[in-house]
Amino acid sequence: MKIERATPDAVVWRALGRRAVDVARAAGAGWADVRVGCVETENLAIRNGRVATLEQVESVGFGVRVLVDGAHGFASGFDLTREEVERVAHLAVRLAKAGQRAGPERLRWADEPAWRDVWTSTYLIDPFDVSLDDKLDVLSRADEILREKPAITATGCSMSFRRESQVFLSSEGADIEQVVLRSGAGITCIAHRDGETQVRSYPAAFGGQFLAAGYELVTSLDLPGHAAALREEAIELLSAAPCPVADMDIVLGGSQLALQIHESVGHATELDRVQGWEANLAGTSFVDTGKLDGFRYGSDIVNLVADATVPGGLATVGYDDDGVRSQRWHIVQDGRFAGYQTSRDVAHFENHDRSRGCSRAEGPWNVPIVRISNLSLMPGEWTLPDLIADTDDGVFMDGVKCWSIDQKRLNFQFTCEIGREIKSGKLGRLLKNPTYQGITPQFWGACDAICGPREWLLWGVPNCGKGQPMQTAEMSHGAAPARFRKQAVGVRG
Amino acid sequence: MLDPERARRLAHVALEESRAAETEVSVTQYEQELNRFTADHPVQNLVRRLARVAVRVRVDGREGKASTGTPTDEAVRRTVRRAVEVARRMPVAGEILPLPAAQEGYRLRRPDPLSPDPGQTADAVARMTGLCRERGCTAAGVKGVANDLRLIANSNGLEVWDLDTQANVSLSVFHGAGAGWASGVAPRRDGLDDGAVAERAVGKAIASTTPDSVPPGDYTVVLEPAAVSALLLFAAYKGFGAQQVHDGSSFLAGKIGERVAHESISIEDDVHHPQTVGHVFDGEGVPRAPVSLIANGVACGVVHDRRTAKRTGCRTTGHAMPQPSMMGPLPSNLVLAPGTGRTDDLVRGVDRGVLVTEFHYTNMVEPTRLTLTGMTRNGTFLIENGVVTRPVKNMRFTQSLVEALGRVAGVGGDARLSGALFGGHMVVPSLAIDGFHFTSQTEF
Repeated sequence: MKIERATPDAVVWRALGRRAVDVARAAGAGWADVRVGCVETENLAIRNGRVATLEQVESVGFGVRVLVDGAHGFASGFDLTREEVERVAHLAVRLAKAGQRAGPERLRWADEPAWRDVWTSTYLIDPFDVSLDDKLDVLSRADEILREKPAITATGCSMSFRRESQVFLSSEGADIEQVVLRSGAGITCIAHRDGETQVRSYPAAFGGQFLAAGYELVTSLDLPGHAAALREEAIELLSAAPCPVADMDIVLGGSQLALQIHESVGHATELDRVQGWEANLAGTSFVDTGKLDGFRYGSDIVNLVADATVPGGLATVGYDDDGVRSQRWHIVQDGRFAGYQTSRDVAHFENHDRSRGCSRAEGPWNVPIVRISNLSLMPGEWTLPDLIADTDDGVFMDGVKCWSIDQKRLNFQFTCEIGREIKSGKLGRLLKNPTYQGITPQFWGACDAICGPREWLLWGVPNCGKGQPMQTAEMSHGAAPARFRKQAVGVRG
Repeated sequence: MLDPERARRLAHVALEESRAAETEVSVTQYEQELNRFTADHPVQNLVRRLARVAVRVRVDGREGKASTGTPTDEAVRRTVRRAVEVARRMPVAGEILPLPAAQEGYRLRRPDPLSPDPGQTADAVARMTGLCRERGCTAAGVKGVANDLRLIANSNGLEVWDLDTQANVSLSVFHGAGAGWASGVAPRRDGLDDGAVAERAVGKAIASTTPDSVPPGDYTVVLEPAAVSALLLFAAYKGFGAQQVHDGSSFLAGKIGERVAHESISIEDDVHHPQTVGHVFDGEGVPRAPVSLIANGVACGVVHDRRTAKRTGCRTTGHAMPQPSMMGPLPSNLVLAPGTGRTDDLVRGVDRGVLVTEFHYTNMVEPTRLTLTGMTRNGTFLIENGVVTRPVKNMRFTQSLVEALGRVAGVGGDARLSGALFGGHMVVPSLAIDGFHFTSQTEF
């Protein structure tokens, strides 16, 4: 196991950061923190036999956040000079003071020890050390296999790597240096014939699988080795039967269940959202604070755990962007709502004296907001074959295709890439556009079987949008296939 | 911070550093001031600055690209070297067009930047939230300004820059179980009427305070501009580009010259429309031309970049994405031609239907018919005998946009610059559509 060295530029970043904090405090900030860092990314994609993306990006920047008598100010910049850092620190204070004119309410800030630490994510092979030739070779071989049949009209094979290095300093004395590395890869193909279009992706939609890991993830996925089966599934879907319209049992595969967790539990239990901070964009939540008294979120077997310490999780960090040490806690325990995802400025709404450590920003130039942690459905004891054998009349669905959920996270409708009929305990014919619709607590309340640890996998979400201005965050959701009784399947006509 | 001279200097540093056969430099400077508020107090007062220099090079028939968010001479030189390194490891590209040379046809926009003024912004927020409080409502929203400077230069002599300025306000208002929303976008601060935005949102919230359930099913709908843009966004992504028509995935594939919508529907892409915002050149620096896409219900054109233009023997319309791109050309500034009258006039023509303020989380179920699903939001009302009679709980629709455009029963005269949850702006009026398919309902 290779342990990442400390950030090479941390000495300079730390000096500039200290200056920012000092200037902000001198200008009147009761609290000040600064993040200085660098984000490096590499994106490769082959589409239809042609290299469509091969880009390396590195961005350096910093963000200064202050509280002045409880009013918030944040400013960011990209010129790492003493003059610019001082200007931005003054600007943050000026923003906070001006903001006081907009209303009398003030933010309350939960306590946290002033940690001093160096933390790095773990990996085996640094993807930035792997040659572009090797990476393109993997993608090209997969793409060629996908394009072997004329019914495949579009392909996409991609890899993505990201390293985020950052120093966090606060006026309380926190000094945290972190390096987080993540990798991702996947393949997708579109089949088209006679006006019908179908898509299949491996190992998941939207770029594939993403983990806080190195190039070993790409190797383990064996993209070329899965391309032929994927291609045949996409073609077979063109002539598949339509999804039935009926109330019936559904068994969701892990990647679809990850999305279900994300949309109907993850966002619903962000406490800033519950408080209306996101009301003007993505909405609020049905999980108001009155539901902390044991609201029935799901059946007794439903346990959903947030965990910013789980190995490989995209939201796994040593400390969040408030300087709060990572934690593990239940969101839903034995079917009952148990707690929110919080940052230091909303923790008090839960009557909790400490933040859960969910404050993250897309790079140092963006303001930290509450983001979903790694949130997972704890495994049960079933195996998938036993679960299918136990289902009399249902549909197995997997692969995210279309998703939509209302502004309080209640009414959702999801369409998967692939479905299979389940009849009398056996998997049957292929079904295209498998769709189910439900209301969140009723849906989780109908969960009566969850597969075990052998089929449990951590699925990465690399594209979660939230906030104004919009930021993208990454997190993971662990899930094993699970069954939900009597769901509304198909689109009602 | 917005400094076109610095952008030019960085571009020239890159061009001088590069020994590639062809080099393109794209410089972006972005500055945003935003006050984000909720429950009548600000939760974020921010100014953020972003910069990006992207360098694309061609070496021995190979193409590479690298970018940096650090706009210094040293970082730009390093980025050029990385781009060349990437190119050397690429396979030889197939068809490769020379970078565009300097051309005519630009009508550049270079307004004065909108300077951040957090005091002025906070005062405006206080006035809006005060108005909401006076009416017994709570508010959440954002108000701010943004400046987006973009410069593209290349080794074939092209150099062009413009500045897109946007002042914006977006306000969600709550009154009991009722919700309302309104927004405004303009190139200048004084182009916004915050008071009118607040009045509109408050009016919706109060009017929708006690919603009843109505059963899902087919209704005539009157969609306000924000709801229309949430649907039309998917036609922009999946329908109006030449590549999508060529590969058969567009609903317009094989139908150019045929009727594809009701005759009252005319759609064009026009970055110079007086109500719109955005950059006047595309991702390769080519000026955007107005393109008629649907005229009186008949499909009549698609947008092109240089690659699709060459393939089909026509001229580019200036709709390339930044290159290289997985996507083909896309429209950037859709304009749906208005009819006459106000939303109320459309309502008067409906016996029984639903008035929709906004759609939420609209997404695509199926691409060839543009089957979409999403939720109503922020003010949904029953129409009976030509009159809005009562608020109703929000419903989910699952509806083919292609079919909906064929069942348009009326076009309003109230065209407005509207956005959607996942981005994009377009100028659209209200629409009345028959037989719009609601498939389920929610609890509020």
